[in-house]
Amino acid sequence: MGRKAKGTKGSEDRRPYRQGDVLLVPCDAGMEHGVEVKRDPVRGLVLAVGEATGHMHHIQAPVDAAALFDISPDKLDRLLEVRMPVTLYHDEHAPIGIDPGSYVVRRQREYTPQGLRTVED
Amino acid sequence: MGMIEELTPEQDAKLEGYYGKWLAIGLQTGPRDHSVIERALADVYKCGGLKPPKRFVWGGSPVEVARIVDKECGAGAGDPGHACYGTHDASWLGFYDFMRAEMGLAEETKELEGLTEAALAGISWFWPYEDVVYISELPTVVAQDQEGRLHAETGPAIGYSDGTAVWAWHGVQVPEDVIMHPENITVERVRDEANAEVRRVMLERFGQDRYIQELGLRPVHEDETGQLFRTEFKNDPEVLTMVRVVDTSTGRPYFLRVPPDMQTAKEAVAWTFDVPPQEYSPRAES
Repeated sequence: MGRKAKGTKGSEDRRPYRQGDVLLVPCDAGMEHGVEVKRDPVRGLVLAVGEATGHMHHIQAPVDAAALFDISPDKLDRLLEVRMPVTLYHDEHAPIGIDPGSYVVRRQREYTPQGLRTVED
Repeated sequence: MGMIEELTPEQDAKLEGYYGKWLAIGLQTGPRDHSVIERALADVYKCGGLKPPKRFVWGGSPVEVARIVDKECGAGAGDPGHACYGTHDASWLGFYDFMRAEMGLAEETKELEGLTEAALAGISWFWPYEDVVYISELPTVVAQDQEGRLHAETGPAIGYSDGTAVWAWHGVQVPEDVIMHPENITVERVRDEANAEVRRVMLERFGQDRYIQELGLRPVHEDETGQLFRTEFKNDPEVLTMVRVVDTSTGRPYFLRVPPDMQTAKEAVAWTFDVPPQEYSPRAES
């Protein structure tokens, strides 16, 4: 917790999108971007990959429609900048249309008495 | 000679090598040629200013040897506190090996030469007496996880040729059947286990979601995001709190463990995404 999601420039709706174990949380467009994540030649922007299954949450869109950035040192949190409406795909989940705006890509996690564990589907 | 206050960078750089060397010595497994070990033991006696023992009595494991010592030398004589640990003395023998070879303290560590050589040769636990020495075989198996903790998923983590074994899961010693027959683990056994670490291993082997389900608990809270379940263990502040959610695409229910203090299902689901509950209301979900 602690990290606060603020309003977006692109959309009035501040509610997040969810696809399985990934949540797109609208955030401040002025947020520090970090290093841009390279596109996969086939899948486009890969938001997250399930370690066990290899299933990906990904966006296939023109280069100027969306971009992805690493914003935390452990590479878990990413920043997604959507400039034109795009679609988020996953092999096991229905596609979801994403409105323009800035989003933090949040992975689902699980509590353990020893620490945290990332959930992957 | 003055006190050594710190290592030179050269000495410091060599520490890692000694660590690896003595870790390997400590983790040796057998069997070993008895005549080699008996010669090494004779040297240990010599370093201590003693005559070599006349008799060498072997056993398959420290447990078996302790029994023999108890029988021959009196009850309590086989207590592990009276034994020398051979390869299992690696932690401190390694320290003096470094002092001898890298810090120029050959004279000061002379008495340990015998033990050091014996550990290198692969000597296991032994109980020294003036005329006789009781000695164990090395373990046949020592298994660890990537972090170096005792761990084996399909057999003993430490095993000896006489069948003596230690069963461990990521460094936690557990009963044999927790490793070999996890199907023997029941809800009641998990619930009633007094040792919190052993219980955590049992819970992991049994499945914490299955545990919550088979307890047949009523949810402590329920809303559109899922159901929240909570159960406590005896003598353990760690409460098991889990949220049951349904995958919107596949319809499959699944459980996620959340911090013990979660009060509502929504708070728990929001926590799994690291957002405050009031901000967790997806406009679209799949």
